[in-house]
Amino acid sequence: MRAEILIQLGQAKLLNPLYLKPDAPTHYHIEVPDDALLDARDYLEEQPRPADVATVPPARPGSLQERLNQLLGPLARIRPSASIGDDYQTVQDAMEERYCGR
Amino acid sequence: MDVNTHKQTDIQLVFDTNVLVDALTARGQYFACAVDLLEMVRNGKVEGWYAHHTLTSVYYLLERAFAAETQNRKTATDLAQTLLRELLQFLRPLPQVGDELRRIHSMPGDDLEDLLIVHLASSYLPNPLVVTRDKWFLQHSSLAAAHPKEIIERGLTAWQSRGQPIPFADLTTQQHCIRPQLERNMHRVLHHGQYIMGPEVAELEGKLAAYTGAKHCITVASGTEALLIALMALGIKPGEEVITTPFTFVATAEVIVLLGAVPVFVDIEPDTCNIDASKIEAAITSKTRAIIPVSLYGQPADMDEINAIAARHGLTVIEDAAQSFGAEYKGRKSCNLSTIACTSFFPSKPLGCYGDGGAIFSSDENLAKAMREIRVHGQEKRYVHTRIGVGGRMDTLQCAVVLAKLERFDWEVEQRLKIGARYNALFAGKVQTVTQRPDRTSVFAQYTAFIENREQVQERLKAAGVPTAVHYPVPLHLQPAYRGGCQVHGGVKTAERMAQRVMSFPMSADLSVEDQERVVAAALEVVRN
Repeated sequence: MRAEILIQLGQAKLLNPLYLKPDAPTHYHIEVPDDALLDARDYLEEQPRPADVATVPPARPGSLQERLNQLLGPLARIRPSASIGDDYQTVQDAMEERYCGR
Repeated sequence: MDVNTHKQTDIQLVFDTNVLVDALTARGQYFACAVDLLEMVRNGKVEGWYAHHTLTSVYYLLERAFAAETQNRKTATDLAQTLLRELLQFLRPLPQVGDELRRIHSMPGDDLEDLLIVHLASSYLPNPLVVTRDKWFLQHSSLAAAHPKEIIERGLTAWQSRGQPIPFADLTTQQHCIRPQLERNMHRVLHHGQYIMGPEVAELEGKLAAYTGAKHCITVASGTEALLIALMALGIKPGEEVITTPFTFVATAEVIVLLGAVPVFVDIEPDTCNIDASKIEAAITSKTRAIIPVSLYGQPADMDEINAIAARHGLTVIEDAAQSFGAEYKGRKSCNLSTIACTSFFPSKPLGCYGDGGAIFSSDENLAKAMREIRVHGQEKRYVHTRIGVGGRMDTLQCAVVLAKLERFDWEVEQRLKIGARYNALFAGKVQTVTQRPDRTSVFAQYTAFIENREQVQERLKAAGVPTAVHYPVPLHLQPAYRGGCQVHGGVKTAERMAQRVMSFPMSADLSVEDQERVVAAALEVVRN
């Protein structure tokens, strides 16, 4: 069957719920015309995961980075990049969780 | 928050959400560039600002990132808050007054968070640069914006403003440097509502007295009011004489005449333009009651000599320190060099408010009591008027403004001294300027030179974008209102000659080296030709 979806704020949502059989696949592909897509909002394209992820950020003595590493403790590590869209989605999710009681 | 550091550039960095999160979580390829920029802010090399409404997003992004890694919401929340607190140690909030959403409805774009950043930064900062990874700022906003990597690679000076008009006294830069303190102080007054004689009045008086070393400080409605109240406290009567300089702002003589007394003008020194102490004693008569030396252009007169003359003849000395708050004379602060001193907080003064204001200083208990009472209609206690007084109080709001400016004042004085010394060096041997005596400092309320063909020079400098001013073009004994009401002792030819030659150049604590060099280059070009 064909399902109708609405793409809003970067997310696809079914207009009517579909209830699948337990053994049915859960991933489906949709095709969106390329000219309907906005360009990425990020200034510079970043590699999906920098090679040195999970290492502690290098810091000079007395530097701000040293202070941040100290505050972060075991969580002081280089992390993969996130796009503007990723951030937007994360904040949306946080808001939804907070205000919709999800 | 350090407001006292000299910035290397006149731009103000405004940090977007994504860059702050990159820096705080070491995220992506360019996080180190973001951290480096924040480091520059922390070290006072450039101003760093944030829009308050972005902090919620920063917080959630931090909290989510740490929660995913630790599986512990409490740890994630605490860490996010700790990092934000660290950031707010050195970043300043863009002020919001509450009507911004109404104002941005006509701006192009649909992202309220970004539109608000544009609106706030362009409303409050003279030369903002948004630090962001978001292309929207580059392509759609009216603000300058750049990726942290680009700023680090090109250097901050690539965004420096160029060719802007040079203000004669730069109050704009000063204001945005202390904007958070100003708003905090002014909001405090709005909340407690004690607009007259509120707690800020006593707080300011205490701080100013401590700064100068005088026992008492009495804030008043203006520098003129300060002089008037001082003379009233001395009981100056009609027909009595007060010795002063003719080369000053009219208020110095105006208050004498207002009380029916007679200003007796004594000539000035040709190199400092201050009253010539060696000529005062000859002007003293049986009617003389006081001497008012003016610390012109921010430099005290020869106060030891003047105080000694006054002591010999039983006179009172009132330092007219309207231009010299912050200056020193033999290691003592201006406003604590004589029995009474009066200063002004006119906005362009070295320490100014946002309207009229002034202060009187004295270590004499009786005079201080009298001046406090005269300030409030001669009132000893509520509705008991034991003297004739005036309505001369300084508004609480203006005191709140000066309190905010005081937080930066030491740095500003230091800057004024440096800028004055740099002018001296650049003009040395080419343009004659007002001399600073080695036993005192000037806070350079004006930086003044002696210029022939002054009007022509001013016109040509104006065309070159360099504003100038004349303090003062006509000595007071030649002013129409004073020709008949004053005395001139022994001729005041130096004052008359200097009035035709003095010309002041742009001067303020925030005058950049680049602008100062522009001023001097233009001046030397004009004077040479």
